[in-house]
Amino acid sequence: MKINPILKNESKVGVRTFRFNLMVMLYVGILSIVAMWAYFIINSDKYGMGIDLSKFTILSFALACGQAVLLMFIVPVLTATSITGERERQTLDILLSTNLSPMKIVLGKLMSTVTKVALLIISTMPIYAINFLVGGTSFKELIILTLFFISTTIYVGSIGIFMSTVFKSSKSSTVASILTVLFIVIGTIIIGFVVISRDYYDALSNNTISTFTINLPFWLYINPTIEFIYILIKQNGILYFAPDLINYMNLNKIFVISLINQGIVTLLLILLSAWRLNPVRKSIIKVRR
Amino acid sequence: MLTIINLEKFYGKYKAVNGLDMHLKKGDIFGFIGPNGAGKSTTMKIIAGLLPADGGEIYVDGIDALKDNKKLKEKIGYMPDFFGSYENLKVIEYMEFYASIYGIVGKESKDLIMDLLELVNLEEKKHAYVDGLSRGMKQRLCLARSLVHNPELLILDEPASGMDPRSRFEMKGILKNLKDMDKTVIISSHILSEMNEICTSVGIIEEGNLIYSGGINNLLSRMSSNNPLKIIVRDKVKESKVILSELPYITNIKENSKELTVFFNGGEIEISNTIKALVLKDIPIVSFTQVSENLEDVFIKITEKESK
Repeated sequence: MKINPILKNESKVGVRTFRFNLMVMLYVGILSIVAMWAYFIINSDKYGMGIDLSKFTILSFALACGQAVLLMFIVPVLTATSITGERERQTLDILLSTNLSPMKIVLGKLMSTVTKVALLIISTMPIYAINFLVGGTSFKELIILTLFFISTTIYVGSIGIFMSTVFKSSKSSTVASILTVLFIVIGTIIIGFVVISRDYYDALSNNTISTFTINLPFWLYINPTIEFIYILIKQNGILYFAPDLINYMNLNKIFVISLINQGIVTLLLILLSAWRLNPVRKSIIKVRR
Repeated sequence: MLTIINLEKFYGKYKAVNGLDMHLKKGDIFGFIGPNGAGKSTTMKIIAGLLPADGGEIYVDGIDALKDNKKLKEKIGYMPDFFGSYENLKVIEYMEFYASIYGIVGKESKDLIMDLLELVNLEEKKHAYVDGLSRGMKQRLCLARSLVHNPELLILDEPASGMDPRSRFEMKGILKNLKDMDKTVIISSHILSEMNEICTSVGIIEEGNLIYSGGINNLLSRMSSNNPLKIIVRDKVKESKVILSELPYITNIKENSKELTVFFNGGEIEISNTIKALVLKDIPIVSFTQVSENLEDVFIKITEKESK
């Protein structure tokens, strides 16, 4: 099988750097602190019979959330510097002068980020091992969660790469990517919550609550938090963090639509990035001289 | 090998390349000369498929370069004016990476890389980190990289810029080897004395216009045709001056001890008539030369306008 040369090169060279190794150390370190904190909560609640093992779901929940928050910042940073970094190192023209197509460059960059994220996730397995010991998470659940993180990495990574083709400097594209991701992950939830709450209280005041169902605004489906909540509910059954509104949702349907929507957005962003990267791309607007 | 017809490129309203025409045969080493901002790099980037053209046509070995970007890139090797590389990459890994882009892997890649490193005298540096190489070595490595897929046409943008004399000498040797390999090369440089030795033809570009394209000797003789004559006589300086001033095409004479600088209008006939006039009057001529110009002088003359 022919491996994308960019992926091959970055997988080899990118992980050699001090920066990457420091990132792995900090990532594992922060998740270890999260795990210790969750363990402390579980331990502080023990009675004469010992630790309530069923509460170890808190640990898997905390680890999943910690991982999600870290990746929310790491993936945009890794991808937003992918093309701007080439431009700043002055290697982009060389790459574009070879027979490597812009699409292959974009996919290579995206896949190398996925590889790095996979490495980060794998490096946290010893922390998850605490859960295996007491049955807080099954291996299957861990695989599902990892697949979610990988698919979200591709989605968020495509945003980062697109920004990297729009902005000239790494700083600008990183800031733009993080702000975009924060808006998608937190901003849309806040706006969506306001919109849905309004409908909910309208239904309450109009006595139509018995027939009330939530129809999410279409733009909320671009938020990967929806799938994340779905997976957490399925795995841990923890609902105390979710508002009552969640009972009025068809979560299965929302999960599928979100996946499809984010897949489409990812595809569009990859195509747009490749188009923007093409030095001899056809201009959409023809300028008359 | 390369045909450019009426190439045009705009940056906003500024016309960076204005109806440029060029034709290169296989094995030609073409020197691109012009002041900064004249349109050299823009033209080279358009040929390399790194910038879109706003008008005209480019054919590389029969391929329509402006339409078939993919096929074009199989034919060309491009070396930019600045060397960029990745952190923590060894020379051999750098070459392997670019070889793998063209699908050259395994033993074939190793053999090719060693041949190319030998060509650019870097075989002993194969395990060194690229970041640690000198500027000259980096430039040579970049040249080796551009040859990895055995391109027909090489586009070298300022390959000797920032190099010390030793590195420039080595680069010159490598370019001569490329000439022997029958590669067609377009090279832009400000080290014109070296272009003089390497190039088979040159093009002078100014404000996007190719104001000259052809052989170097032809250009030099054309630019030197009205250059003054330098005559050194053993004695009879005053008499020589009188004889020369009587010739109708002589416009000015400057005297410096036994050396006379004679300005004139005309060509070879007038030069031979001048010698004849002096010899017939028994003037003891020690030396008789026309001030010749090298490529550097021509470049200065052409770019004078810009500096003003």
